[in-house]
Amino acid sequence: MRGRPIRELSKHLFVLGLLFFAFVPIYFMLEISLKDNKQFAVNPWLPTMPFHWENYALAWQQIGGTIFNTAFIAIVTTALTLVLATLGAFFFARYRVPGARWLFWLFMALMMYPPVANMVPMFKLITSLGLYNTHFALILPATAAAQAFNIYVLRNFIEDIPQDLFDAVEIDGGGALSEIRHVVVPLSLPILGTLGIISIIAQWNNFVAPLLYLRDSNLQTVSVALMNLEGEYTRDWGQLMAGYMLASLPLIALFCFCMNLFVKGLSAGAVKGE
Amino acid sequence: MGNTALHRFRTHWAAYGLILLPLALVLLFEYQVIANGIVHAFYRWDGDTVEEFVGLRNLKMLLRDPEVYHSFYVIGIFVAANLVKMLLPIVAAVVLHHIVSERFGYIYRVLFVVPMIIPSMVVILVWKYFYEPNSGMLNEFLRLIGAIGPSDTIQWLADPGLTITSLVFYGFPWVGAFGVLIYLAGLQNISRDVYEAAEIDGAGPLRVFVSIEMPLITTQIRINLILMTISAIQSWENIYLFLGTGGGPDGAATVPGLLIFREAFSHGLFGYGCAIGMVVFLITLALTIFNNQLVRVRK
Repeated sequence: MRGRPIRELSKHLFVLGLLFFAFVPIYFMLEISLKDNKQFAVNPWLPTMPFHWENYALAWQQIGGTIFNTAFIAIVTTALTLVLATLGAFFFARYRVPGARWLFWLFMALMMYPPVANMVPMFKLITSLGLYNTHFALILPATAAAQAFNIYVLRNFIEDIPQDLFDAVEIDGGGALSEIRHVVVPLSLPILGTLGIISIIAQWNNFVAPLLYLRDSNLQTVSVALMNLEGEYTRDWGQLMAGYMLASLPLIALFCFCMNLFVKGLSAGAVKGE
Repeated sequence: MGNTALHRFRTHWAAYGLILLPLALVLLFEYQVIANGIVHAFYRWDGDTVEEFVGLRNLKMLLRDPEVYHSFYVIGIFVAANLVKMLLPIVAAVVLHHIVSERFGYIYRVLFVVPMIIPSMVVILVWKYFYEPNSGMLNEFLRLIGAIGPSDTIQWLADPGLTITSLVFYGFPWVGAFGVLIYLAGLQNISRDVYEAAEIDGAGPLRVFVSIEMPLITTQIRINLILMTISAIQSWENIYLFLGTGGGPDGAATVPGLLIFREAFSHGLFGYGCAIGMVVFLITLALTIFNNQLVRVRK
């Protein structure tokens, strides 16, 4: 492919055009988050002086605590999901025991069941287990719901690990758990990372479950806190956007730490998962 | 031999131990819930004290409920719109793949991921601001260029004629999520030799796209198509964020998920909610089987 300058330039312009529109929401969020309502009314388009950094302090007062709640729920859910799914995937990948095939389909069938059909009976289960208004009401159903997909992906990876590596551990007298710790986990770190990030993002965006299952505002998640902030009758646009920024920052930070995992892991996983 | 059998038995014990916790969790929080939902589709149920078997009454009510038909009609529009929305990510991936400079190619790929890292619910809330009639960005822009008068407002979300269009358009240019990266990964599997051969044969860019690139990413397109259709049928959270429980003017944008939420948690009709849930399940199931058939035949 020889580069012809004009054709090459038009490709760059097309991509830059798409990126421009993709960044519009981020731009406005950032720029408005530093305005007071008067500046916003006069000029919503461009940053204007002075910057109102106190918007962030005020927004933090309103949603800061809920960010910690969300982080706690997301991390516990993700850890639990990955630990259990690794155990399950190891079982399905390594053991041809009676009932294993049948059990596997029991898990896989769940991928066809739409969570939306579960909304009503799940509410009933949560209340009858006494989990209403606790973080477990979010953590346990999310962990259960994630098992099928995570087991499916991890099983494919574990099946591809060469037998020799497991033999080595068995010769040293190690059982299943040490095989998982010394062989499976080190080799599946990239895919575990990708699955982990997917899980954290899902929890960060989840607002239906906290809306239904949490009552106390000190337990509430950031998603519901943002909805409440947005729904207030008189809006302070700067504070609102500052709140959106604050709610996004933990995920942005996660992205900065795991950029390569994101760009490479997702595409590699996508190709493999076909 | 006896020793081996014993060994195998002990290994099996450990093996079943591995699956015990995931299984317990799934049985309680998935299968129990599913069974309960199916059973209560035949009940009058307020989620609390009223619990009475009513046979097929929910189903009959559902078949006569114009809101139910309307909700599936709305979801049909969204699915059709999503088909069109799949085009830009494909084009973006192909163009990105053809950018000669490796450095820019990498920078662009990273930049495509950045918008995706903003939580999708925040993106929706920002778009809700764009659509806001009085001080929203969209109307301000139209006032700026003089398309509407200084005190005119367009009710992007509250005007029955615009609600669905606005909901389809949000997220433009729809290149976020995994689409672009997945297609790109497929395209990068095409070896240089194929391109060189095409060039020797005098194939132009369009020919290369149709004959070489499209066939090689059809798998990815099909996977995305399946995932998109299934998730579109189930999605309702975005509508709730934009329009609240009511689903817009006269419930114009009420989708099945939102209808379940409303019937159960606003009207206390838990059994009816379960029944609508069953219909969504059956449609998803039919589509999944159809999709699997499609994939198998083509392979």
